Amino acid sequence: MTQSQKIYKRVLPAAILLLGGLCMSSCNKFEYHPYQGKFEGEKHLTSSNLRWLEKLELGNNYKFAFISDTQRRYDETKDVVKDLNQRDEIDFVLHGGDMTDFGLTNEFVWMRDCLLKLNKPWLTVIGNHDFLGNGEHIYEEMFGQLNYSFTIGHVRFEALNTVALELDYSTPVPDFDFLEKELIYINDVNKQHPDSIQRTIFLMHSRPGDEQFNNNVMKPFKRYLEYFPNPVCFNGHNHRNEILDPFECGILFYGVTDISDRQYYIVTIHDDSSYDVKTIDF
Amino acid sequence: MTVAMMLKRLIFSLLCLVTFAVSAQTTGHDLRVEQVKQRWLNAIPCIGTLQYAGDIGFLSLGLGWDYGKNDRWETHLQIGFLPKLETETEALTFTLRESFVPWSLGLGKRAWVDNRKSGSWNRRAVFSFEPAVFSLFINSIFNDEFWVKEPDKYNDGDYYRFSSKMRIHLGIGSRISLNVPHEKRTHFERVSFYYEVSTYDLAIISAIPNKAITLGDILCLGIGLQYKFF
Repeated sequence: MTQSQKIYKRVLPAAILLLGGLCMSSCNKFEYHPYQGKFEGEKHLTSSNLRWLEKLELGNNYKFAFISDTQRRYDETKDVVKDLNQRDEIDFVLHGGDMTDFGLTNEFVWMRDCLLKLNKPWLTVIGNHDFLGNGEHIYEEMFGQLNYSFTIGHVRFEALNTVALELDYSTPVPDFDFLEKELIYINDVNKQHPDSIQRTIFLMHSRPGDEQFNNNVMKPFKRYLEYFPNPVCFNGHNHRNEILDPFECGILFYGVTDISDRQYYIVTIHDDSSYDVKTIDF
Repeated sequence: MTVAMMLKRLIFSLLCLVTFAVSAQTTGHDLRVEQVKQRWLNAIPCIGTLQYAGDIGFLSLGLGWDYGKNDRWETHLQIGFLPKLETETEALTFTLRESFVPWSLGLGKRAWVDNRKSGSWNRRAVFSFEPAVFSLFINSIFNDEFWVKEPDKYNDGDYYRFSSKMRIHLGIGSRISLNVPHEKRTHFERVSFYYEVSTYDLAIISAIPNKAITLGDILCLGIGLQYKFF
């Protein structure tokens, strides 16, 4: 037996086993491209979670959790999901954007699959990282509209896309047409049923003053916010816990840190639509 | 000077000219031209590939070269087509691939095949199995939404610190080849079926800090046919 034959005899079974194993583990995984856009499993999660939330028939007194910036932190995201699932008092979860780091199709799938383990409804806004590559199209397919709204009890929630830099300011971000429609809606509702919407909670990824925000319209944005009943904002993006009043007019922005800091907020809405925010370590 | 002498001289000069002309047919320049032509002939791709999936497109067409001892090294250029799925538009991708094929194992009966490089004839197995094909490849996607260097709007490229357009992939696969015996050849010297399991830079850095992302999560599969023309 020659040297090479000996090598073959040893290497061949090992190589076949190794490659067979690799092949089996990636079985049914014909991937076209890291940014292929095609994905399996659940789609249109914003609308399905809104339907779920509606079924819960929450009153005027409830709690929600606010997490953000979970990109490339799947272990911590799994842990936070476990923690949130154990807390029965939390009725739903809001995510402040940046579910992916590079906008890869697989990142959306991995993060979605982590969050799908939540035993309560969860809603998201788009972050600047979710825009990378063709990420925004995948976001729209997997979640839905970039701006949307819903009412729970006396509170109107406004989820906004605020990452203007990613769209080169070619698309109105924040979308004032959307805000205008919402204002008209709230005013109509309050005219028919006085005091039915007493507070507005804005959910966004970047806040006014951030490099991602269209700071040219910072002041008009502030003016719009002032028209809404008792506005309060929740944002991610800055990877730190901070409470700011950027316009110095009493409209507070609660920025939450990224999930690697193992912290999130629990927001309690009281009967009189007042709120309090608690920081949770997990 | 006599006429005879002049004639002698003329004939001598003519002979010299003729000799020179004959020797000019094989000057150093001619040899050089031959060499250059030969080198350009080596630049003719001798392999064609057709691949399905494998992170470089839905379908990819490629041309390549093999070289080195026993043609163990291969370089391929592949153009991939990525259809419009959940994305805005379809896109083309370009791949530069370097492969190393360390072993080729003969299977079944042997037949005479010629060796392109040495011009000699060997008895080779009709079927062969290459248990491991290691590949390193770079893929670039042609689409406006992707960039190599971050656009100026992001603080001098110091914002995301990666390129969304260029991916570096690592792959390992095997192939099974039919070495067409010389007398039966029509178009191809060898036809191979291959598969490849691969992953890429961003998937690796996503998996490293996370137990939740397993090796299986970051691997993808591609299959293809490889035709060796000559």
